[in-house]
Amino acid sequence: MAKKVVNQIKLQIPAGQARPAPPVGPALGQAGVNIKQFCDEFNTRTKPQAGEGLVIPVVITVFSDRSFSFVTKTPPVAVLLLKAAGVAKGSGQPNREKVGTVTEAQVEEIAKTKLPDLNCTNLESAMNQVRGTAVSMGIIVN
Amino acid sequence: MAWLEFQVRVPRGNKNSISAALHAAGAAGVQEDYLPGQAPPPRQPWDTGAPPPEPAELLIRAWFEDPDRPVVEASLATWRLETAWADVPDTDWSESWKDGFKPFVVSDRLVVAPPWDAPEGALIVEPGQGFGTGSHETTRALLHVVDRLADDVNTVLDVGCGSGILALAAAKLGCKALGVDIDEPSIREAVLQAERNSLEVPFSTDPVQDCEPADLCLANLYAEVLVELEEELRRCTGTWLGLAGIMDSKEHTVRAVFDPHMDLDERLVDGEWVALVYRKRQ
Repeated sequence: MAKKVVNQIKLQIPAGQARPAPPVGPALGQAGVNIKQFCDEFNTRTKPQAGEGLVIPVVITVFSDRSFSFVTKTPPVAVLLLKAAGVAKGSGQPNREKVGTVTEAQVEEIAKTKLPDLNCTNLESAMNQVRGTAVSMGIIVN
Repeated sequence: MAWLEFQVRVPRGNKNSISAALHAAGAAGVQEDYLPGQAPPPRQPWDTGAPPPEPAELLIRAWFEDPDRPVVEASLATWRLETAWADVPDTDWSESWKDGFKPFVVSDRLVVAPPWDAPEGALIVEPGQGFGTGSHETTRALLHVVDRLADDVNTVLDVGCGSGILALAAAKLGCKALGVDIDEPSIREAVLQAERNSLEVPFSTDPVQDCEPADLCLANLYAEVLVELEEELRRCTGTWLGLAGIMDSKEHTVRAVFDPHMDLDERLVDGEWVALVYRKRQ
């Protein structure tokens, strides 16, 4: 079909918890997108991660007749690092204030999870990106 | 319970750290948005070349139900960012998205309508993941073509069927119709739309190369794909070929490949969109 894109909406929603309330309601309601259908399919697709309490980035493409498509991504590196370090948030002053620690094994695990969404093809490059994010959050890699 | 929206202007490089902090502070979810006036034009399926660079800053929106504002603000305090709170109007989001979807009257015998506003005998199409809700110029043009030709043809093939609306309209008018699309979610939806209307129309992800010719072949795609599929679309055409999704600036590229082989029978223009109806030469 002659799909002309009019909007792309980027949300982060806890896995399995999309419902017709914020953020889905205001974001998709404004675009006139079938909210129930989005919620049902997002929750079905992310059901496996729902038990882990992970936040899932999703990109919703809205077309000119208000039909839509969406892709889900792997959880953000920052979210996975916070979970691995067991802390609630990163540091606002990462050079001076450290908030937690992760191991190399945890970095590797996060890199494997994120590999499909990162701009790299090998695990070592992905691990370097994860290490970089950890530094910017004030998380030490041992 | 009251919802509040928390807005924060962030450097692009910090968006995930800040989003994670907002989730940790109790946000129900966050949205990554552009600052006012900074959104680039949406990238189209037919665009080529590198996308424009993304702005250095963006707007993160986070939604909280009855938040403890100082706690939320404190969660970002060390970043020293520009923040604001906004009220969220009390809205029934499960219904409000339906505003603006109205029945579309093609003719006395063909009306396309959403399920919540469907007159007796209408073709019911629920807007969703398949393109073709009946509210776009390109779909409407080919609905008119289906209505005009349905009495003269027996079989209809809809190539790139999206929601299935064109094949379903043809079946509604008594034709034997089928639809194909490479997009699986669209096909799942087209099957549901057929069930909703009690119409027997096969929909599949079969490639157009595997399709048998039909009296009327329809393709609501876009100019580049129509040109690419020119030979296959002509092969699939028994008598009539309806093409849509052609922006007026690209009509010449489509005409250049189809005009030498087929007779142009009708040209429909609606806004920036052109539809062409060809008849096979005897």
